[in-house]
Amino acid sequence: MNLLTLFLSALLINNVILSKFIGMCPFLGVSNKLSSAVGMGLAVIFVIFGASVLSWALYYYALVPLGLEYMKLICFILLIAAFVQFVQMFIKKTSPSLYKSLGIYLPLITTNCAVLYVALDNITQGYTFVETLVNSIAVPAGFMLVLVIFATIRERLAAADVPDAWKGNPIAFVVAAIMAIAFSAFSGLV
Amino acid sequence: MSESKKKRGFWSEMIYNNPVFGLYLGICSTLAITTTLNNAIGMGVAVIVVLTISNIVISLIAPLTPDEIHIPVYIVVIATLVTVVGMLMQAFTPELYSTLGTFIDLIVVNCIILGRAEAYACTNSVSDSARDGIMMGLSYTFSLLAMSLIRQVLGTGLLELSNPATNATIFSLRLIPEGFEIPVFTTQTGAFLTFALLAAGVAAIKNSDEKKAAEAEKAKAEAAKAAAQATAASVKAKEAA
Amino acid sequence: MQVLFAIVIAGALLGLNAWLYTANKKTPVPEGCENLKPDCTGCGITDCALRKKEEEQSTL
Repeated sequence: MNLLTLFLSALLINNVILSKFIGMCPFLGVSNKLSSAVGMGLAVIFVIFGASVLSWALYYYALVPLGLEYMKLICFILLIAAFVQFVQMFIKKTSPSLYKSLGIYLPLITTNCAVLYVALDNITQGYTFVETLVNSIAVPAGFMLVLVIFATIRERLAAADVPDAWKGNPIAFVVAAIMAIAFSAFSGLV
Repeated sequence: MSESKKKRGFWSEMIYNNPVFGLYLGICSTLAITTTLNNAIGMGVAVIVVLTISNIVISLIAPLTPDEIHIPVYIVVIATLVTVVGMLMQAFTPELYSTLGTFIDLIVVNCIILGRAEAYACTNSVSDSARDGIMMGLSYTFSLLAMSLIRQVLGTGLLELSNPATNATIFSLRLIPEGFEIPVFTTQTGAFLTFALLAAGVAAIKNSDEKKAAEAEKAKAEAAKAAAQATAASVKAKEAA
Repeated sequence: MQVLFAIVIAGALLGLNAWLYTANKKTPVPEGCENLKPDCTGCGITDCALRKKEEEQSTL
């Protein structure tokens, strides 16, 4: 499969938040300020890339040869949890500035739908190793793109006169609806 | 504050502690699958089963698990249950399984299940945890039904339910004439808009109740002050007399 | 036989988790970063474990 098509489709056309609805939880929780959105986005790219590649390797080199495909869900989620702990420890030891900007968001990613979704999707679609690499970068990049755009809109929205019942998350969903219309225009791209 | 924490009725409890529209838990699956009533009921039943059984198992093993490893252990319990439920759905209701797709596997990271395990099941008895699991599951299913009802009726004009095991239609009513339905509700935009409306509705109900409670408390405080002043005045009058 | 492999793999991953969790807890946070909290109002949404702490604080 053409890698560029795969990249663009995962990034824009089948955008993980606006088209597949995965990863909505941090989308609402962390998008109040641009700086936290950028930090969360970078942390998510790092974790999804590492965890998905490791999960792919675990599946094809350990589970399939032993005939244990049904253990996929349990093994993937444990691997993701272990990987997040490892990354947090690694960042603590190597770089305080990196810890300040993205290390604090790492514990929030363990039970994130997006990480498990990408790991499972790579297997369900039967991607080769290179396709897995491309998909595992494109999907969280799309996540970060939408998160950053959304954070800039929400910062302005905080100063607007929103009715009481709509303050906070309901008006955020209306913004997401409009963004979904905008992103659906990409469907003719490839 | 103490007034609003009284025991509430069944329906108002569902609105106030609604996991989807009040606490924003498990939003990913709510938005993605609520296109038809069938999907909503299927997902709701799966979540009720997983939630109840995982609550029971976790309340049994919680005293035995050391603290460092308790989250991965709970996750293994929930993941095993989800794998089993997924396999059962694949065997008995294959079409429902293929429509719901990865979202059955994503029940594992649905914050309702792990959240209730951590907050309730690990410190309460088995029967209490089971009851809590069923109640939260019903509350979640109720939210899914509300959303899919709106989306299906407005988006396709039909109110349709079919047996997932045999694919036979149970009933199919056309509520909106052909050509007058609003297809946007079956797309992503419609999902976001319906969710926003329902969330704003729940927030409006909560706000109006809080306002009423605050006004009632203020009125009580003023009445108490007036009564105190009246007694003070009558005591002074008695002393003067 | 297969079940044995399954239990061994799951047990190995659980052990890995326990070891990394204790090692992570022992690693000190770089100085100057002790009091940092992620700047997000709805973070309890994302992490179920964090949500319990948030709920406890709000009911105090």
